[in-house]
Amino acid sequence: MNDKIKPAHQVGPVSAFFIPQTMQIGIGYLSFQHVVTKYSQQDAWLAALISGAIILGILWVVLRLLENERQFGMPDLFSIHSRIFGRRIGTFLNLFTVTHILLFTIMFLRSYVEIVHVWVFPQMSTFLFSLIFCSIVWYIVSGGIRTITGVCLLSFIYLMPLSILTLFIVPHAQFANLQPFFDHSPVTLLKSCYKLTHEYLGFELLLYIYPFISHPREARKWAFRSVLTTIYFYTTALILAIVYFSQGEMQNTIWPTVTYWKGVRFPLVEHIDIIAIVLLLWSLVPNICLCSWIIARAVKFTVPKIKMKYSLIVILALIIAGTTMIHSGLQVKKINDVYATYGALIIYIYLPILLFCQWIKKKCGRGAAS
Amino acid sequence: MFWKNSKKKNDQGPAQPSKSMADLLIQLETNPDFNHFCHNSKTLTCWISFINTVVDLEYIHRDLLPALYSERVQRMKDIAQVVPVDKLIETRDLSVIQTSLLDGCLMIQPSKRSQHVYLIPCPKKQARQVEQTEIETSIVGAHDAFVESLETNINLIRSRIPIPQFKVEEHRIGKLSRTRISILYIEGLANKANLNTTKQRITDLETVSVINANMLALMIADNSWSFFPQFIDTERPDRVSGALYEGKIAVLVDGSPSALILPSTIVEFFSTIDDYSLTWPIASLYRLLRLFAVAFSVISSSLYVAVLTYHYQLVPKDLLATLIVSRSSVPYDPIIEVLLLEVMIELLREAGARLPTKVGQTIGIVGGIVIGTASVQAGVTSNILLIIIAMSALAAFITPNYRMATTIRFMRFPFIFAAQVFGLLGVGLCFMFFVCHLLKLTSLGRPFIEPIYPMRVTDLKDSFIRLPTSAQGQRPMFLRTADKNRVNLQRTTQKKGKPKPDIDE
Repeated sequence: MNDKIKPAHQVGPVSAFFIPQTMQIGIGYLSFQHVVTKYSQQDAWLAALISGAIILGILWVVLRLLENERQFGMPDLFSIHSRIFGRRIGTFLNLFTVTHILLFTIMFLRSYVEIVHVWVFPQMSTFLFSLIFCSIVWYIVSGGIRTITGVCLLSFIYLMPLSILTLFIVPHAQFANLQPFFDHSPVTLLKSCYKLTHEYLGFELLLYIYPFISHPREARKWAFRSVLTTIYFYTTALILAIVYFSQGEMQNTIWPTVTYWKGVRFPLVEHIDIIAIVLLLWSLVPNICLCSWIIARAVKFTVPKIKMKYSLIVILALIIAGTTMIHSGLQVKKINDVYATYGALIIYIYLPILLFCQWIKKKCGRGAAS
Repeated sequence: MFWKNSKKKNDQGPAQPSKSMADLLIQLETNPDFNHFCHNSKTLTCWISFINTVVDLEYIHRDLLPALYSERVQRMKDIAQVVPVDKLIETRDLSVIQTSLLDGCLMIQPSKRSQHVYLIPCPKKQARQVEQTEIETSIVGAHDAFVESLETNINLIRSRIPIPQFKVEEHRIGKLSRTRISILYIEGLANKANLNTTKQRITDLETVSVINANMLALMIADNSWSFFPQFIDTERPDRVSGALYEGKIAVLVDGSPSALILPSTIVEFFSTIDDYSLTWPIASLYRLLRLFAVAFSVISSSLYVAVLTYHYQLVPKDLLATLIVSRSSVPYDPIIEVLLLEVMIELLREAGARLPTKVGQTIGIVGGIVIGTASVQAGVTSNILLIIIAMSALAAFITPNYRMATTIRFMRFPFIFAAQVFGLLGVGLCFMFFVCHLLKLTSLGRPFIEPIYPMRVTDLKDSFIRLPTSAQGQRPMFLRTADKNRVNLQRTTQKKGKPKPDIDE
């Protein structure tokens, strides 16, 4: 693998806004209100803010890690691993983090199929859909990081109407639902925060794409802005859900967002939910593209002989196989939980430890030099 | 794509170049239109030859021959002084002789087989007069269109760009045809890299002949597997000169009444010259109308298939009644119905385009009214579908560029099939594929959907909307021109003067 990324393959600093943004807001946006309000009912929006603040801290850790690494070569997680822990343990750690990404793609794709099964086509073949979808993904990823970033940007643009759509429930809102304020103990709030991890995950992918972003100083600002935007989206969605549903109804609604899309009516079309679910393809595609690109890069980092264009086919086949193997909604839920726990482990525990290791290594290196 | 990779220089002349003067003359003498005769006068003996179908005979008989026959010509060298021509070529190079003879030169030799010759250019070009635009008509703009003659076309452009920096470079492409191709640009404006890429792509072409500009556009396209045209072709000289002033490059082909503009972005295919004559809000609205028309034309029939096959919940209750009434007598699935009408419209369009204008009109009436109404009355298709299909056919041809319009006409078919397989989800997947394809496309190495991705907010000023001229002070960023500004920004701000502090002060 080359040490330097050619400027022709780099993307602008604004992509540090669009990429984490599209990675974070995904399929979870449809159902997270149901999960989060379980512990801290009407105060859940507070949990979204607290959780967001923690994520901003983790983002700082991520960017710190990358910036410290810049002087030693490529600022990405693979290089950090192999520099601090050596080639062998580094490869193992890469495997550890990349497995999470693979899990993410499978979870995401299968959750989408699950939603399509429930709301649009109960009989749709999971295999056929993922095959067609993954061939489009192959076509995009073969265009390189620039095309993938383009897809991220377009995804942001195309999903904008959906966030406007939520405004339609404001006339039906019962703002009294928000009261009483601050009625929950910090423990229950933290439990909600933990549940929200699943939704905020995705920004850590910056660890892999950072060397491809030009003007890192500006990019860092954009990365923070992106997480702030995500916090805004989640908090408003939560508040709107709380004022629209009663707590009892919320606990029985698996996809609150889709349910209130269903309530929106236009003179020419009804059932906006179906259109919105189809539009959500645009949330799916950048995620799968970027993740399979990262996994292909990991393969190339470990075994430089294998070209990305060939390993990509194997990876996509793995994703299709993984997606097809999950059969029921319960399994989807389970894999979502596994993914969230795994992700929480990585961002809350592993990344700070890694930053600490990097600091130790720096101290040791300096000690050895002097 | 072999032509793209092969880096051979295209400088071997036409196939089997003649070995000597004698061979060339023998080869040519078999043609009845080749004149080769000896001129004998008191003072000079010489051989004169020309091909009478490519030279201007009147000019030869009226001006050249009398001067040549006059007694002032004593030796071959006197020809230059006596004969009233601006350019007299003296050469021994056989390949030059051959191409000039075939291009319409008069050849004068001292003896029958001598290779030392004088060539006097007197070509005659059969060309149309400059006429009204037919493909890209404009209501308030200029009305002249390009013709088949390269000289006339360059004249039309040069009269609009009267500056010495305007450069015309000529290349001869085609192993046999040796077609003249001109690359036009304004020096100091056009991006050097773009210019070099254009030149390289054109000179590297390995081809037998170049018939017209659109064929050349296909040959030098970035992705020849794509069905989107990647360079704009236009028959309007004012559009070309506008593009040149913007910093783009134009390519003209001899014998072709259209010019190519390189590089292009997709939004430029949907802009017309009239947009610049209207006030900016109106022009912007028309552009948005075109955008809507394209979206409607591509998606409407596939949405019909998807909604009626799978998602009838989407249709509001009141409309549903109308749909049921209109479809109750139709025995087929929506897809059969849609394909039937779509193919019919395509047939009508093709027949109308191939037939002479007067018959074409009849075809339109027969097709549109008779077949349409009859098919509804016979219960083969539904009324509503007929409206949708007719409207989408209309919408497709709102696109000002013909080649883009045909692409848009074609694009609906994958959508229809996808809608049949996966319903709305299929339409979404198909749309995603097309968008990603556009995302990967480049035009001369520049991104094809430029103002959207890479996101350049400043270039949006002349894309889906057109801002007023005062906001168009800078050239498009995407062209990377050598001179960024159209106007002197310092001077314009000075002229504006101080900003007013408040109302009435």
